[in-house]
Amino acid sequence: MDYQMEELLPIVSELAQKYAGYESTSITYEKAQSLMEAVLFCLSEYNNSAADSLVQRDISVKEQYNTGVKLLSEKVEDIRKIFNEISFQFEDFGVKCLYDTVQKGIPQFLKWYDIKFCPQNTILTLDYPLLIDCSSLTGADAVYKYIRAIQTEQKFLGKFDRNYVMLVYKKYNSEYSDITENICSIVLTNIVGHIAIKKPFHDIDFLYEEYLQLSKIFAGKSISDIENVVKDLIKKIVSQFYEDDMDMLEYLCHETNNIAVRIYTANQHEQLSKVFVS
Amino acid sequence: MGEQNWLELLNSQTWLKQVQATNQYTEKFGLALSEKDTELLLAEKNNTLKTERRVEFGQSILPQIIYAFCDSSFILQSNYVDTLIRLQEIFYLYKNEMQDEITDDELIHFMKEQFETVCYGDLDYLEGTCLDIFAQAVRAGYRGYQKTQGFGEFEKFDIVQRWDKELYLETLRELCWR
Repeated sequence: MDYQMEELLPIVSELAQKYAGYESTSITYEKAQSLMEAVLFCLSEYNNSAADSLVQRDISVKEQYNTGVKLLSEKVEDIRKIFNEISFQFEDFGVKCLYDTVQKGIPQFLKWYDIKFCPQNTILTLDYPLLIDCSSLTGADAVYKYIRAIQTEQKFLGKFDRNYVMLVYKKYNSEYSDITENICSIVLTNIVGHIAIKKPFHDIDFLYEEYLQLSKIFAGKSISDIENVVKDLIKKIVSQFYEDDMDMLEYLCHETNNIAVRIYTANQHEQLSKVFVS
Repeated sequence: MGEQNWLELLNSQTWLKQVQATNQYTEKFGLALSEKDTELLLAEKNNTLKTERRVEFGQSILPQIIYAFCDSSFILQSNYVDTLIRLQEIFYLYKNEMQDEITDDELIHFMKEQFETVCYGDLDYLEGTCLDIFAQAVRAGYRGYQKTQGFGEFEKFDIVQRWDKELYLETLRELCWR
């Protein structure tokens, strides 16, 4: 994205006049800066949507900006749709942070998000952590990626009995409702243990022999070797229970390194019971 | 491109033409700006905008100030340019002080009214007292000026007893009998 300043200024100028309601001939540097960021944000929205049919490279910067605004409005509409979809069967498993971020936060975002004058503002802090990193994104881009990830997590956790998820989470940390950790990560780790030794999910609590069996599987392996084992196990889970949902596979695979490191360290100290909790 | 450059670009060349065009109207009040004056005003405007960290888009405020103040009996050709420079400074200062809550028109109406009726042409009094008191009210949430367009506002906040016939006679009495 490389724009000349003289191409951007008329757009910023028009936006500034609209912002001031045509009743003020000047604005502060800070506001001008923010409006310039707003224009650049919409232009980047246009440029990042290269696959979209709306994108044509030979149009003026003003038209690119207008298309960017349109694309952004559609993105906000998508956020609304996804939010409404997941709200039907939303399950926070008693985790306050997840409830607050999604059920309280997203409606506030939809209420206050300003596409025209401040689209770069994310408004929310998105406290509940995901398996992916959204920190490089801002505005609707960040919230869109976030809500899509939450949708995937809800789909993943929705396959399991609520009591099973709660049991795993409680065993992981008895004060689970106040901790700010990703539920999916904890449950996924535990499920990897089940799948690795072909232990049914309803058969809760690992026995001593089962820990030995798990230890054997991961013994003598480097972190990257364990990562590959975990990745294969996740693939198995997704193909068996989620009809090879590629989005889910991609999302869950972001956690393989973390799981591998935890397994590796726990196995070194014979503490696999801290990783595979139930 | 640096932050400063693009902000400076906004001060377009149309400004000089806009200000020169005001001469046609102000001539009937015996006021006119030479090319040199206009260039000086432009330089001062840019300085003030930088000082106040503001940026102008398209139309400038100076023509509006000129049209509003040119009929004042306190402005003569001899102090015309200096007064305009000061009015510009005061205008931008108080746009910031009032946190952009007030429109250009409302602020100019308020300034002109006080300049004529309370300050009698004293720009320091306008800046340091009238606008200061009014800005405090605006920052505190006062929005009554939206209905009045900035007219007749100062008397609501004025803490000084202004000259009227009674006060004049009372003062005269005190002076004569002392």
